[in-house]
Amino acid sequence: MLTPEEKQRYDRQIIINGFGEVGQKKLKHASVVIAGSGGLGSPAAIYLVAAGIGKLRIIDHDKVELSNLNRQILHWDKDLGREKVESAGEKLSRMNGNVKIEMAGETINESNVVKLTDSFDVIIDAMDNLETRFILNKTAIKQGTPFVHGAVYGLEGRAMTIIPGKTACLGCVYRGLPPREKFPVLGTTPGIIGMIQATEAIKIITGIGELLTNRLLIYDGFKMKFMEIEIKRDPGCIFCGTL
Amino acid sequence: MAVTVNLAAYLRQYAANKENVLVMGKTVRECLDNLIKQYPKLKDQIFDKNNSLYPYVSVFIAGEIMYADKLEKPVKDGVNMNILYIIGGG
Repeated sequence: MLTPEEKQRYDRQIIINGFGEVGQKKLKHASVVIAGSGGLGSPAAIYLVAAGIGKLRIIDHDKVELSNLNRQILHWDKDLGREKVESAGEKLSRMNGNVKIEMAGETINESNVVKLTDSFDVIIDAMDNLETRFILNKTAIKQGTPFVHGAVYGLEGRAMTIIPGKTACLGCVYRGLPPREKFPVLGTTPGIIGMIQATEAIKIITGIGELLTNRLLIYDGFKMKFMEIEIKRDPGCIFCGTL
Repeated sequence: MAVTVNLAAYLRQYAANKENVLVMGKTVRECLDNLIKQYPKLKDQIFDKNNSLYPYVSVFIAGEIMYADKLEKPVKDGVNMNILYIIGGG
């Protein structure tokens, strides 16, 4: 049941064609875990909390640094040196008291990833490194949890939604890791991609619209346009090829 | 065969900021070789010193990924080829 306050608060999305109170109730009873509270995780978290997701867990082991502040909009000047999960948790819980916010200040690795993600309806990949993205992809496939990938470089952003066993996964797009480097990024790029990831999570939960599956969406901020690349499931994919 | 190669933003800096490049070739490999002939700086981004495709560079034609072992596959005239260099920032 939605309370009168919830009906009023979410009215503008409840009246979206196909969304309705049914969709809002689905959101209220759903949970999303976001891996990372940085450039991608900040906007994704803000919009999921504003939309009235039931439970949101954010995983991040970092502390807020000055060089984060051009894009990681959950963290402000006053938060420098603070644990990111504390900083993010403070703002998100003040945004919407209806949402249960959980913070996990851990480094995601092979041994804790299941514990951190297995009870959630959707996993959002908002990491800043590729190694952890592949760990999350592998775990999502194994658990059967929908997974929303996002990544950025400069003014280029990419996003893709993965429904395990049904659609192409991250391993169907990429196989290996490049040399590590400090990546350039304009804050608006993860802003746009993080919001796309939040949109996809809401669509997965409510069942509205068509998902960003079997296609990689590429945002090109230099030319200010979006393009798509069709991605078929790869039978030789090391993650999903045998499903 | 004439093939249009689409380059995502990262790789464009090695191809005079071109978004699309028309290349000629009968196979995926020939198309990539022709692309590199036009923009030699792309070679080090796409191929390693053994002339093998880097595992973090993906080539797609009609949704199908062309790994190193598929580079001899024939291409059809007029198709689009997408080359993606993996990105992982957040």
